[in-house]
Amino acid sequence: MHMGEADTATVRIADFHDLAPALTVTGLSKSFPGVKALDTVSLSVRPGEILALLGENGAGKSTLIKILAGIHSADSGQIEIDGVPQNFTSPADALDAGIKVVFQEIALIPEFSVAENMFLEDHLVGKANLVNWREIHRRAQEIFDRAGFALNPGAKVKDLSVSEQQLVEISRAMARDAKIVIMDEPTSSLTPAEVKHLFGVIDRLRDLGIAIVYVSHKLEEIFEIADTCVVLRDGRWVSTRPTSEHTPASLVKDMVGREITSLFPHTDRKVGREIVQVEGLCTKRLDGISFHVRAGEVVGFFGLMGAGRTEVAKAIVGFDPITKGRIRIDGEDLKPHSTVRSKALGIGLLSEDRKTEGLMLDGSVTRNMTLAALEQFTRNGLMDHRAETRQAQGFVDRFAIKLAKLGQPIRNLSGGNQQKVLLSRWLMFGLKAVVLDEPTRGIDVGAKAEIFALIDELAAQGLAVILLTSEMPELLGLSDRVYVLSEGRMTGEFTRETATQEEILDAAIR
Amino acid sequence: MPQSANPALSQSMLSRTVRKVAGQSEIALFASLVLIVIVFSSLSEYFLTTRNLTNVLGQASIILLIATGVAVALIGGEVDISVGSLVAAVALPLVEIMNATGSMSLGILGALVLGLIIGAINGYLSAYLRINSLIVTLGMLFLIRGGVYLWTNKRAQADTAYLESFFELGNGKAFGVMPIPAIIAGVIVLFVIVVMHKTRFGRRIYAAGGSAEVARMVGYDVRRIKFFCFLISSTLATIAGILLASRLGAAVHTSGQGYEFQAIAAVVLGGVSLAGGRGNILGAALGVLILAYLSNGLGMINAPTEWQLVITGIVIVAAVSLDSYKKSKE
Repeated sequence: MHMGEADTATVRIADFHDLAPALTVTGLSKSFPGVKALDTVSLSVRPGEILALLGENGAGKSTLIKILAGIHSADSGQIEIDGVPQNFTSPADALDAGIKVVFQEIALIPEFSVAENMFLEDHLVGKANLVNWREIHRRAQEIFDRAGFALNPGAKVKDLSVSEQQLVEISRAMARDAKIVIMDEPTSSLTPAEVKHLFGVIDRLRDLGIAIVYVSHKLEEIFEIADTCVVLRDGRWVSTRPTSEHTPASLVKDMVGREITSLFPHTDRKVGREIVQVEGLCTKRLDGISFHVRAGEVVGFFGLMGAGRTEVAKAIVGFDPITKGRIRIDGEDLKPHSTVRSKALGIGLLSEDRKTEGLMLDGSVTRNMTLAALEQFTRNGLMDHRAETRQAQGFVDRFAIKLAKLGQPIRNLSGGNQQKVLLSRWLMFGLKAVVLDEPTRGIDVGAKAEIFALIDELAAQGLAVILLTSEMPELLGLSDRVYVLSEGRMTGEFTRETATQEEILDAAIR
Repeated sequence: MPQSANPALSQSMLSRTVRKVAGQSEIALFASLVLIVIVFSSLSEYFLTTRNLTNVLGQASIILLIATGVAVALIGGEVDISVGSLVAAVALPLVEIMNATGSMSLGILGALVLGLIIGAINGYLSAYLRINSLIVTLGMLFLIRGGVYLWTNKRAQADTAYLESFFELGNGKAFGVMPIPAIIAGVIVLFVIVVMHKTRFGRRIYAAGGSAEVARMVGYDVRRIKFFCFLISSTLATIAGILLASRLGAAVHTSGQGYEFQAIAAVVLGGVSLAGGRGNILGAALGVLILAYLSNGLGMINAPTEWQLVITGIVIVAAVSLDSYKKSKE
């Protein structure tokens, strides 16, 4: 079965409510040792419907998706596709039945071409069972033409951006005539322009009569594209309502189970001397950036992808080389320009990529936390493990870090708690300034509020906080001042009082 | 769409196929090989003779077979360094069975059975019990060599059956020019190239080595794929062992020592990644030929063996460094 001709397919499925569900899940339960991950959850999604699946980490979304993908098997309950009960024993079964899950961690072979990745399950073969590369490329191109994707079938996947790789995954679903496409946090590493493009693609899939399950933490996105919202909490179903009946507050309430009154705490803080002073900073990508950050101040940096936000961060902590300009930390020049010197001067970076640049995933919580401050626990050249543990426990208590024991691998902590450990690392070291690059990426709503409170507390303790974020509410809610970058130049500065979303965006595209 | 009748398009398809099998790096390898031949031809009048060039092919065919198997294992994300010892081990059943029965077929069968048993043990421990294959095959390297010493009492077991057909296998020349081992190795390498590039099984080896996680998600039986990689590498090493025994006219207990590292060196030179999933058999084969002609050429100009080792080492590290420098620039 093919998707239908390009021109007939544009007929919008006006009202999917009349259609029989493409996917029906009834009373699905799944337990892992010690936890009931999913408890009698039911939902259904119709052809051409976009269903948002919401919930905090641990709500059971991942478990549900993994069962639908055939990775886990349910303890009880039923999955029906087009009314036919299914019994998946492997990912291949789910795919054969018409369910394609696009995971956050994209499941493609990096060394293979785009086209080959689309036909991984079964390489098309011709004579003598030999792989027919020509046909594989032709079919891939055909699918791109139909879907309007600008992809080159022969390009290697490792050379593509994340958003292009997502398109390959979606094309893979189309190559298999998938009826249900499930997307797990698809926008978590996309630029605003790429998000817009992805929404166009999702609209196109909807028009082709594909049922879409969309998993996301970002409420704005839900309100923009979802028809229906299903909320899970602690493995149980909480609500199913049309998006039109929801407000952001009602969704958050369903997800968290309580009302979060003040997402962005902002205590009155005493602003002190200038800790970070940057004058005329130039790098390969930056052109004459000047700014300052005072003790006790949260300064937000905004810019679209490629504007140079991350470059600023990496330059001022001595990670990326600079070509011109002067960087001073608490009056001292950052010379030589290295991370060793910047750490000694008291500025640290919390990378957006926690997993590869910040954490030793298999190391214990204590080891991860005390990494930067080992000198403090060294006596006569030997480690004082008791002092180390005492300090670590202090931070665990202070920030309410949820863990079983200090010795457990940090891998097992939630994203929010990992982030707290990283912040503790820098506080323990005694920083004067800290750069936070996308500190809430991949963290759910409830934990986000805790991270926000933590950022506020960092500033209240007299740290100079530089916040890099692409989330506008976060930027406006947390920052005392906002700098806006565009194409490596500084194009705007706003105070908390003067900053508005419109003006910031305007400066960002200037 | 008016595409099928377009000759320009089908030509581009052809060149695309060539490019798929022989990428940029294979062309660079081939150019290096030609360069080596040109340089040594100007340095020694004996180098560029049909006799010398084909002789080197004959000598290289043993490492070529081993390297092809090692490359398959590496592409599948595993390492097999037991192959050097295996070369010595399989010669024992081969020679002993031939001596006892006078049948070459039975001897070869015996060699293949032993080779497959070793491959299956390597594969089972590495793929199914998930023990690091470097460790498994390192252990196997010692175990087999020790076993061979015990069995032979550290003496070569001469082939006393004197079968003409067996002698021809390792020493004969087709049309009086091309060594038979080179032809056998060449045919097998071509076959493996086709398997790796044009069959589902081959592509699955690449996928399993490129990302075992993704391969599992897609529904491949990754353990089985990796298991077969070990069977392939031990089978190819067995064939190499048979050819070597024929050349030597005996099962020699010390034969094949260090071959595993010669093979890995050549394969890495040919662009196969130790991390798995990357590289191809053609490149690996070119790597073998480059090292073979380099060593032969250095011998021709009477370079001391010490220097041959040093230069070979420099070539390998330099080539791989150049490659990774090029990649980091991209």
